[in-house]
Amino acid sequence: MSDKPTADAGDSVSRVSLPDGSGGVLCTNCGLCCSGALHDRASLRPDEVEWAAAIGLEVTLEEGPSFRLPCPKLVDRKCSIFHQRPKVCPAYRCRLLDDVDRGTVKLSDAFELVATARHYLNEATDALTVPTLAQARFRARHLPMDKLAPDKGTPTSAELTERLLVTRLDVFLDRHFRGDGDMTMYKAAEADGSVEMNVQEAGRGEC
Amino acid sequence: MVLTDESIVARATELMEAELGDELVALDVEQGKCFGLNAPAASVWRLLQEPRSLLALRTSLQEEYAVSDQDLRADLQFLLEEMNDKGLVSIR
Repeated sequence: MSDKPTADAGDSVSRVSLPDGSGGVLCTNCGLCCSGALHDRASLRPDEVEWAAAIGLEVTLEEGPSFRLPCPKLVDRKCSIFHQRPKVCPAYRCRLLDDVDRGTVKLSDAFELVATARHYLNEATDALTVPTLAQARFRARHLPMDKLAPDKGTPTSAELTERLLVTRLDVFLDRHFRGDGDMTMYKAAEADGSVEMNVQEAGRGEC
Repeated sequence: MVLTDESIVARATELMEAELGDELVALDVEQGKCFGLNAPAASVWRLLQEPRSLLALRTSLQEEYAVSDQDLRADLQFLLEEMNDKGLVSIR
């Protein structure tokens, strides 16, 4: 196995630290970022590429060096290379983690959101008609319905269910987990004293 | 669009639905689009399992939401016009 690049050895303390405060407890009970639920891949520094490939991460150089998620080093929601993990791992903070650390979301509520996300993730995963969630997500975002099953003419019930449940998962993750910089096409109505009602197109592309 | 209490509102399409708490994410197979319905809009959609008059819709919603009749009229009209524009309901 290649040695971990030493260029960042000087900040090894921050590399092995969980986020301060109760957020660290949240991370060790979540792992959705590593599981591929939030993102399809995670960035690598150029000097981590060789090492990452050598330890079995699926490295890609498309749009900059990165490795594909789910991370194969995630075992039972725990990182099996915690003390050697790529730089991006301790640096990444999801929206929920920030909300917990800011005190705008209680830790107990955050755990419930994680449990709900896992429920939606499991249902979406069970409905997959393609090998990976990343593929299903790409289809849901970028492939129009009439292109979903060009050979068969119309999509199957299973393909439609996959599209619906993957979209629901992404709506929920956009709302609670993904950062402000992420494209969000669905927002909850804010209560303003009246009954605000809305129906919006959901998802990131043509559903 | 002029709506009266006697206007009949009906679903104009069938949606595949997935619950998101008390909201709905729904897929319109014909249009190939997904929609997010917040809780009140989801309530309206559920009430429209059978066509209803606007008055009947408002009466049912007032039992569910503590809101003035004036606000409810305005909000419901806005929603129904939006749903009509998106091809989800028909109003006659």
